[in-house]
Formats: sequence, structure tokens, C-alpha cells
Amino acid sequence: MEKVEQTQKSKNKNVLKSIYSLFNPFHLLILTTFYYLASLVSVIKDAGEQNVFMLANEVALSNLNLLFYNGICTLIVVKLLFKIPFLNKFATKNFWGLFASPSKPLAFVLMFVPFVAFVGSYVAYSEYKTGLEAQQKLFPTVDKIGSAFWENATTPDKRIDRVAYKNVRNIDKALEKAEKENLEVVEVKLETENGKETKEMSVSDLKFEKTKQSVLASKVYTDTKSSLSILLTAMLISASIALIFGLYLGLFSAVEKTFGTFLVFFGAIQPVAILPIIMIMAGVEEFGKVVFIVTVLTTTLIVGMNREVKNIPKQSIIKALTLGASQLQVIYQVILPQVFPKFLNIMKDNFYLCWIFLLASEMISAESGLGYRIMLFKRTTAMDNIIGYVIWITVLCLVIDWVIKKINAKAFPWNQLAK
Amino acid sequence: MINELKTKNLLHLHDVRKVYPDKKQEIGHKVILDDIDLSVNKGEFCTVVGPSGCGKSTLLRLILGQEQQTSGDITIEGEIVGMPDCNRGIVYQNYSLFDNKTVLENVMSAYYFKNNIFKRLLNRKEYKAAKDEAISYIKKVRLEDAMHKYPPELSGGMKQRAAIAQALIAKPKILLMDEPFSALDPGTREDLQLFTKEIAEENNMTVFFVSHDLEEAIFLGTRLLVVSQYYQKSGRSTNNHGARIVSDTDISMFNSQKSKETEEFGKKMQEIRKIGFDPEYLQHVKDFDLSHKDSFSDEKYD
Repeated sequence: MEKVEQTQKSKNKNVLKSIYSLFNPFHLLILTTFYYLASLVSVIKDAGEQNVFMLANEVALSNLNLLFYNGICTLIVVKLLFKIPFLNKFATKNFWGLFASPSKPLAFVLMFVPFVAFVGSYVAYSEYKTGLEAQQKLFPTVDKIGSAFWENATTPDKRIDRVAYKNVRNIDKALEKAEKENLEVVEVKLETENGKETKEMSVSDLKFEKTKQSVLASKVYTDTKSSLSILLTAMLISASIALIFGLYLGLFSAVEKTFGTFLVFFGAIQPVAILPIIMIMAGVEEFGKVVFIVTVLTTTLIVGMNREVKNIPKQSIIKALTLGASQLQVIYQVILPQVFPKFLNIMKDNFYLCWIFLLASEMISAESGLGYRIMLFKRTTAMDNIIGYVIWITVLCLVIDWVIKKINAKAFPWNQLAK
Repeated sequence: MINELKTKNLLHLHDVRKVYPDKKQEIGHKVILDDIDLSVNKGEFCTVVGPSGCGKSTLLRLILGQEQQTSGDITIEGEIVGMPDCNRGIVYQNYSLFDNKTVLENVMSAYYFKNNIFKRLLNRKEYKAAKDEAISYIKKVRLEDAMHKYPPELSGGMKQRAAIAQALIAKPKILLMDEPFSALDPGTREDLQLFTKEIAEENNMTVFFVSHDLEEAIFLGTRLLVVSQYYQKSGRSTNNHGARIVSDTDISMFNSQKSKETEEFGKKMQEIRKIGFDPEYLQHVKDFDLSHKDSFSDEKYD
């Protein structure tokens, strides 16, 4: 009899615990997310022309009590699942809790879970939406995105390079002819730097020429080239200014007393607010954009560099002096090499900032560039093109990040050890 | 007499005072060191002990040139000291190696600073000689296995050994050591004590060794300086007086391994503990035991 009572008590305790853990912010966050997703799924079918997210909002808000009931039920189920010894042992060892650390294969699987969930739900929904309405533009399917990007990357654009566009058309015609008549060598009209000429070329050469000309005149190539050249030029200029100035700012008290307050003030100026000023002063061409990024970025880099220089113990300077170093040697042979990898890290962190400024300035005014192209696509609601470009920019970001990280690890092995 | 000492000896401090401005205290400023008179001959191994916070490290930093004294003058070979330079070497408590250089490069850094890259490339012979010398020093501190490692890879004792080799190879006139062994385990510590002593004797080097360990100080040094704020002056009776050298004695008789067990060694330790570290026991300025032949003070010659 007592035993039964005890189990009854412990069951009550379990329910109570579940109710309490509903107020755990983390549980609440996850439950709300699932609840909202469930509402989204419930309205998707009957949405038709209406905005799905607005409908889902309405449903979610009108059935808020469900969040509470379902939440408690879910938590109780999870708690009961954890009562199973095998699952409990697995979870506390590998998955959940302060001392659980996933084994390598499990960690690998876990890494893909959010990707699969995100991409998978997008794929499913876009397919579903396209099935309802073949012409819909808002949720392009993955193959549409891919083919749109492929087209952007491999077809010459008429507005970017008229000559290449014509040449590729001529080559296409010649290739067609070659296929029809089974020729090895065909005549093509090509316009080069030397003027118009008619050449005889083999089919394989022609194919290569076509690929070369189309890629070089494609939207993706020209946009990437113009954006990256602005980005890297600006980055290089502000990095060299910040490296030297930050060094002196951190080491020389007089320099800091003079410029410190000014830098605090200058750094507080909102970048996008001064964009019009720079456009008026330096123009809207590439030069203007470089000036904009340099103006904004240099202050941030100097402040970061100053902090890193200050972090180096003063003992290190004194030690160098007692070993016979001159003042210049202390600055450039002792402090600079020790700070440089840290400075690269600061640059890596600020590359994201750079991208924001670049894309913003390109969206406002430009003739080429990734931000400009996205804005152009927006006018025709070409979601497939936009999503392709967004992924491309993300990839570029990650690659630059990775390259700086690799340089840092290879060139400064001691910096990795210090951590 | 004082001038005679100044010209004869390597390091000479006269009436050195150090005052820190202290906004929290109502007095307005805090006197750290008061009337420091000190003259050190070449080849002397001076150990400095005193209660914590008394200003031993400040005294060392003044000699180093890292800080400036409020008044008085410090001279090395008759010249007033300025910024830190290669006349004075330093070994800090927490190993101040350059993290971006390997142990060998760290030990060679004195050579690197004196010879720029063109000189290094042109004069290969000299470079080779410098490298060989560095390697021999590294072997002496038994770091040959870690020669091409970076400081973050080394243990505390290894770093400190490298730091000592780095300072010694520059052959400074005065080697300043600020509690260099206090973060090490007893075994390494004893090793390094013997090694430092050996090198100092070999090169007839003047060493200024700050320590908070009495036994180490008495065993290592040829001359023991006790810096303390626990003393009394006639006339003025204010508590805001800085530390002074309250005892300056020759301790070269305690310098063998065996002497640690003798009765005199224990007696000496008791005595130092009483006059230097006991806040209750206030010696009068005139009773200071300044029996070392180079020691002087204004009171002594009054």
C-alpha cells in the first residue's frame, strides 16, 4: 500500500517537474519554435494566394493555450523516455547535460541536423508550392535556383560585354554548322582587339574559346571581380594604415593622448549616415566605395590593434631594451611580429562588416557588383537569381575566412600554441 | 669617502627616494623608499629580502631604469642611469620570453638586435660563432631537446631556464633578478640556483637578486641586503616613512651546500626575520647592522 502511494507521489512530482521545466527559457524557446512551425504547417495547405506567415501568426496566437498543454505533454513524454535506462545512459553520456559530450560520429551527424531540417523543409515547401502553381516565383525550387545561377555564371551578358556576346553567338552558329556537316575545322567570325577577322578553328578550340568568352562576360564573374577588387583594395589600405598607426597608438602615450579621444568620437559616427557625404565628395564609382569602406573600417581596426598592442606585457619591451634593442627594433621586431597574427584575426572578424558596407553602397548606386545585381534582380522579383547570389556571397565569405585562418595557422604556429 | 666608493664601485645609489602619488590616502602620497644608500662592487652577488610590499622590486626597477626615482642619483661606473639598456640584464618572475621566437632564437636575440639582417648575411662566421655560443648556453641550462620549440610549448621551469640563458648571454654588467625562482618546484629551483651561481662566478658578474625566500637569499648571495619599513627614527615620528636598507652584511661564509645545516645559518635567519620582518621590533636608525665593507649611510659618517 505504501509503495503504491510512493509511486503515486513520485508521479505527481514528475508532472510538477515538467510544469516547472516549461519555464526553463531554453525549453520555452524550443517549444515555441515547434509550436510556430506546427501552426505554419497547418495553414500551408489552405493558404492559396495569402501570405503563409501572416496566417500562421494568426493561428498561433489564437490557439496559445495549445502551446501550454502540448508543451507539458511533450515534456512529460521526454521525461518518461529518459526513464528508460538505455536511453538515459546514452543521453547523459552523449547528448544532454553539462558533462555529456557527443562522440565523434554522433557530433558529425548532429552537425548536419539543422542543415537538413532547414534545406529539407525549404525543398519540400518549394516543391509543394510549385505543384500548386507552376508559375510561382516566391519559392523557386532548388533546380531552378541552380539553373538560374549556372546561367548567370556561364552566359555572356549583352550589357556587360557586347563583343563577347556577339562572338559567342557566332561560335554557337559555327558549332551547329560543324555538327550538321560533321566538320573538324570551321570558319568563325570573331571580333578581337585587332578588329574583326575570320578564323579557321578546330571544334575543341572553339568550345574552349566559347567557355572562356562566356564566363569572362558573365554576370557572376564581372560582379564578383568588381566587388572583390573594391573589398580587397579597401581592406589592404585600411589594414596598412591601422597596423602602423595602431602600433604607435598602443606604444606611445603621447600619440594616444592626442588621438585617443578623437578616435572614440570618429568611431561613433554611423557609417551609413556618412555614405551620402562620401558619395558627394568621392563620387559613386569604385573610388568612392573604397573611400567609404576605408573611412569606416580603419577606425575599428586601429582600436582593435591598439588593444592587442596594450595586451603585450611591458616586460617584453624592457627585456628587449636590456638585450640591446633600439626603440625602432622594439616597435618593429618585438611588438609587431607578436601582434600581427592577432591583427589578422581582427581583420577576419571585420570582413563581415566590410561586406555589409560594400553591399549597402552597391545597392544604392553602382554599375556592377554583387549588391547591385541583387537589387536589379529584386525589381523583377527573380527570387531564383537572388537566392543563388546570396549563396555565392556566403561561399565567398567563408572562403576568405578560411584562407585567413589557414595563413594564420601556417605562418604563425606559435600563436596557435599560445591558446 | 662616499665619492671614493662611487668611483671605485660599479653600482652606486645615493639618497634615493621613491614616492608614489596616492589619491586615496589623505597624506597625499606614499613613500616607498627612503634614503637608500648603496654601493655594490663588481662581482658581488647581492640578495635583497624584505617584507612583501616593502619596495624590493621598486628598488630593482629603479636600478633597471624602468621607473625613475623621485630624488637622489643612481650611477653605474660613474654614469647616471637612464632608460633600460644592455648594461643591465633582467630576469622576471614570469618568464618574459618572446612568444614568436623559438628557444634558440630567444637566446640569440641579443645578437639579433645588435646585428641587422644585412650584417648577419654578410658575416656568416660571426653568425655561426654566435649560434654556437647560444647552443652552448642552451646546453648549460639543459634545454637542448627543446631548442626549436616555442615558449608556449614549454613548462614553467624550462621557460625560466631559457630566460636566464637569454639574459646571461648578453653579458650585462649587472644582472637583475626579480624573484626568478619563486614560481618553480623545489627540484628545478635548486638546480637553477646552482646554475646561476656558477655562471655569475665564472663571468665575475654583479647580480642583484630579489627574493622572498630567506634561505635562498642567504645561501646564494655574498652580500645580504634587508629592505624594510619596520624601523624608527629619532625626531620625526610619522608612520609615512619608506623602507630603508636596515641590514647590509657579508654572507659569503654561508655559501656552501653544507652550511645550510649549521647553527650559524639558523641564527642568521632568525636575526634577519627579527630585524626585517617583525613589525613589532623597531630598530633605531643608528643601530642598523651595516657591517659590509662597501656599505655607507649618512648616519654612519655623522
